[in-house]
Amino acid sequence: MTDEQLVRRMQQGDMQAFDELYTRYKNDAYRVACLITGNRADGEDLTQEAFVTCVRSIGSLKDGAKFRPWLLRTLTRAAWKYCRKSKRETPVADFFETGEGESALSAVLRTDEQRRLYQAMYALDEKRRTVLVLYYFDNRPVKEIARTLGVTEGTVKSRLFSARRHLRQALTEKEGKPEEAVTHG
Amino acid sequence: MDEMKMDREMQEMLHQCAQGLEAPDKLKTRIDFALKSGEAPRKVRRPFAKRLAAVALVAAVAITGAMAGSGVVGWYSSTWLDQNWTDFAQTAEYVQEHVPGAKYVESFSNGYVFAKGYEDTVDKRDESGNTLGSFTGVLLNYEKAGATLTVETEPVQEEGQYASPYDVVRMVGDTQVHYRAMKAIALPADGSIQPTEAEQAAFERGEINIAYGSSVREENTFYRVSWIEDAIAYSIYTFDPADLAEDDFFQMAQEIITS
Repeated sequence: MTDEQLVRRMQQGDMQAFDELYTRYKNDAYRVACLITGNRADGEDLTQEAFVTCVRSIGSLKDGAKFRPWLLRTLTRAAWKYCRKSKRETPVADFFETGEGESALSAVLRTDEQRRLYQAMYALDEKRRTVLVLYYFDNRPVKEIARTLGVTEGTVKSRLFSARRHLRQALTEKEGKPEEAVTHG
Repeated sequence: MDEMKMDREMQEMLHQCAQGLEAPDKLKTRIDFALKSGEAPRKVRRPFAKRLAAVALVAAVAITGAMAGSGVVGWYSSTWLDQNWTDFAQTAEYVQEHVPGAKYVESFSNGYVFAKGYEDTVDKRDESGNTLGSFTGVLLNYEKAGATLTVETEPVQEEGQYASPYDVVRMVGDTQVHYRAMKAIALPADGSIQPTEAEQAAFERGEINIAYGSSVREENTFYRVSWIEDAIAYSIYTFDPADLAEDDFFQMAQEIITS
């Protein structure tokens, strides 16, 4: 059954249709939420909030085929509000600077470059970080990201450009330091 | 590192981070519970928001028909009360993010001073309660000797919503500014208390406003000055005008318009 058919059934009050959509997109939503927030617990909260919001406002979704981008849009907006409130991105970055520990998400990273990219990504504000997640992880083109986030393509390009510049700078600065050169061996 | 290599590293890094991330089983239980219990974590409905906008909408339909066919019958405003900013600079930054180009002042010449800023999300719904659209505005609260007033900025929706035939209208420069003091009734959202037939009729004529969301029936007078400038809708309003008179509301509007 297509998303469109399931959404139509949901709009008629069939919650089994929601169960099917949830099964279909729970991991996509959860992964994006974890990557935006930087940890599993917050990712779980936001995924819950996004699905609950979607169920409650399913009547407003005119094109059921667009359920996934609609879900992600709801999710990212919830994430932005959450990040602004909790400033969770700061502690994540602190993990790297203090050496006290690592977030569960980054524990699997294999190379120093990836770790630096991770650290640089979480030093960004939530909006640019979201664009990075949708572009590099969800493999969405700029046009689709713009539709998902409800902004213009120009805004997405601008955030992407700025985020990539930040990542490049972070890598370049590290590469230029003697102690980092030693680390790289 | 060259651009292409960085792109590849980013993709690999994110996919590695997401490896093994699967929505836990308990998540579905939590969602089902939230849906059944009506729980809406952290989000608190603000009972009095948009009460005047709703009545102005009715007036616009009755007089101009501008809203005909839109299907919108009400605006439902909610505010994250636990998310506010007491720092004016931070709030100003947030205003620019959500309502780019909006004007605001840190204080008015009559002594009202900025106290807090809030985000305000508004859903436009049809008769069946379906959400037809939503937008975000920002509320700035000002205080003076225990009295408060609110400055609201939001992207203009349908223009007819922001004016009614009962307004006092003055020009401030090239801007048409509307003022009105109107009776406002607030009722519980569960429908346990209904407006009288006379009140409902007055509401449909745009003479009073009826809002839902209070715990008991309340009657107040709502004072508001409003205007539209550069596709941004501004309102200054309060239920407690203290020593503010009609001229004072227009003066505050002028201070924002000329800021």
